[in-house]
Order: sequence, then C-alpha cells, then structure tokens
Amino acid sequence: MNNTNKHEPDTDPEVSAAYRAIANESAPTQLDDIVLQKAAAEARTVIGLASYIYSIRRPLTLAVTMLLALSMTLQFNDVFMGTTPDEMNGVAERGTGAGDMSAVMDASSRHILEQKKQGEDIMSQGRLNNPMPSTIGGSEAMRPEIARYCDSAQTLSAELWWHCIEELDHNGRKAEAESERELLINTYPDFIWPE
Amino acid sequence: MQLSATIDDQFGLPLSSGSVLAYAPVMRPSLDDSALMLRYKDGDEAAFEQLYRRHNDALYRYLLRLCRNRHTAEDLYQETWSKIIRSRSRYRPTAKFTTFLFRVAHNSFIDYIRRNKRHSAVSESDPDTTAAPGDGPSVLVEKSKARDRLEAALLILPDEQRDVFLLHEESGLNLDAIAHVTGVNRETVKSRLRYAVRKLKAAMSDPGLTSGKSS
Repeated sequence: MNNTNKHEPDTDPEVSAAYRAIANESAPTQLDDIVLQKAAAEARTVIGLASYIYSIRRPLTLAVTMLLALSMTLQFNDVFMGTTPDEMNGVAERGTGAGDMSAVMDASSRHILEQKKQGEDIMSQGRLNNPMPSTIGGSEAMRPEIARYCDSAQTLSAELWWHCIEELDHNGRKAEAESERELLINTYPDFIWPE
Repeated sequence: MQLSATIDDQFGLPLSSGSVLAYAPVMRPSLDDSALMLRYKDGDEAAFEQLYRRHNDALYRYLLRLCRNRHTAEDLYQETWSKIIRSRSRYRPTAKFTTFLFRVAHNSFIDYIRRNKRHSAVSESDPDTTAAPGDGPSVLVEKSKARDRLEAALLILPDEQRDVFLLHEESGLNLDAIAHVTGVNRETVKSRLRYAVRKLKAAMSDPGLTSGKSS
C-alpha cells in the first residue's frame, strides 16, 4: 500500500524503507477464497432482502399512510351515508360547526330505534295471529345485514319472514321471494317450513 | 468492458470498434472504497472483490506483525473481514473505508488480547520470511540481516507503539485517522509513533539485535 508517511514529521524514511523492504507478504490464497466465498454467500442471502426492504422503506411508509388516510375517509363517509337526506338537511340547517357530527349521530340513532320499535310491534302481532309453533333458531347476531325485499324487522322472526315471502309470492314477485327464501334458510337452518 | 459496451451503445459503434476499445481502460471509472462498499451493500459481489483486493495484503501484514503469530493473525484476519461483510447493511460512508477496516481489525486484536491474557507468552516471531524467487545469495544475506534486525526491533516494541507504527505503514492513514482507529488522541498517537520510530532506528543500527532476537 502506498502510504503518506513522507509528509508526517515523526516518520523516518530509512525506517520506512527498511520496513517496506521486508513487508512483502501477501494474504494467503486460501484466506482470500474463504473471505470472498463468504462475501458472495452473504450477498445472495438474507441481507440482500433486508437491504431491499430497507431501501423501499420510505415509499412503503408513504403508501401505508395514504392507505390509512383513505380508510379513515371512507369510514367517515359511511357515517353520513347511514343518514337520510332529510336528516342531513336538518344538520346542514343547524350549521357547520363541531356539533354537526353529533347531530348526525343523533339522527342515525333515532332512525335505528324507530326501526327496532317497529320490528317489535310486528313481532308481537305475528305471535298473536299465528298459532304455529315458534321455531326461532337464529339469534339477533345471525340476522342478515341486508334484507332486500322483506323489512329488517320481519327478519327478526322466521315466521314473519316466511309470511313476507308468502306475500311476495302472492304478489307474483317470484324472484324476490326466492332470494329471500335462500336468505331465510341460511339464517334459520332449523326453521320448519309450514305445509 | 461494461463501460465499453455502454459507450458503444450510446454512440452506435460496433463492439469491435478498435478506436473506442482502445480508450476504454483509460475511461473506466475507478470507484472509491466507499462506493464499492455501497455497491456490495446492494448485492454486487464483484465490487466487494475489488475492494478486498485493494486492502487484503496490507491488512494481513498489519495483523501478522501486530499479533506476532501467524495462526492468530489469520484468525483475526478472517474475523475482521467477516465483521465487514456482516456490517454492510449498516455501512454509512461517513469515514474513510480504510479507517473503518483497520478500526475493526484493531478492535478484533484488542478483543483477542482480552480473551487471551497469555498473548505475550505465546507470541512468536513468525512473519512470512520466505525469499523472493529471483533473489541471489548476497541479496538474500543482506535482506536477511535487515529483516532480522527490523523484525527483532518490532518484536520488542510495546504493543501500542507497534500498533501505531504498523497502522502508519500499512494503512496509509494520517495521525488523526490513526487516533480514530486506536481510540486515543492525536498527540498520543504522535508520541507513540515517535518512540516507535526512534527505537526501530536505534535497533537497526545495532548489529547485536540480529542475534539477540529471542532475548
């Protein structure tokens, strides 16, 4: 190796020259092979992948942040989607302050409570008018999220749901009745269909 | 050759174009150590080999004379390069690569000393003393005398002084960089180097040292 000793005040050219005259050893070939093989093996394995991941960490972080922001935005929109236009208008009329969100939430809660009350009324009515044995097998958790043609309150009870399907059949809405029938079977598999 | 091909592609010349190929070796960029290490970090094995070939002999000589034992030196040599290889994912070109390399080697030696308190007792004068194939008898005798005197003088130097002298000779680092490698301040390095050189010079002019090597 070429060194820079000549510019250093504490070196002696004679000593350096004598040292350079004797220091002519080279690293043994077998050591070279061992080190180079190790380096090659390391380059092809885990560190390569780690290095790659390290190199893409910034774009990855950005992508994750954007994804989170998008997800939060969509969730925020869902809150407004669950509200009727009239209620939204009511909210708009009340102003655009920090209270907007709570007003929308109140409206949504009211809507849900009304639906629940309506469902309970229908259910009690059904029990009184229908002498069939109760075969309610599904819990409230099993209630389908989307009942497209029968009211959600009707789907609280297998019998009420069946009545709804009969009604659809009677009105000639065969496809809708069939769709609801499939949902009913999935939701209340132990329901005994009336003859 | 890769650069030649690139130039040929760029200027639309055939690969066999002698005029372009003649300039290729001159135009081939010589990457510095840090750039090579960064390339190796990205998986370029050839870059590491180029880097290794630049420093392998100097590092080997440094450890050979620092340890005064061939087997120990070879172990530490492998250990040093293994550490360099393993650390490549964390490598930052904040300092000269040579400083980094010799610091790792120096620390490996210090660890070895701590692990093996009997280092001094088991030390042996065993640097590679084989003659070059073309040396005549008189040259061999002269070489042998000078070698023996210097080797003997190096043997009797304290570890710290020998370390600084060898770093100065083999790594090509300046005093500040050696201070960084050894973890002491510049003035201490300067002082150790001055003492080492003074002792070596005195020993070289003392014919008695040739026979007094083992004393």
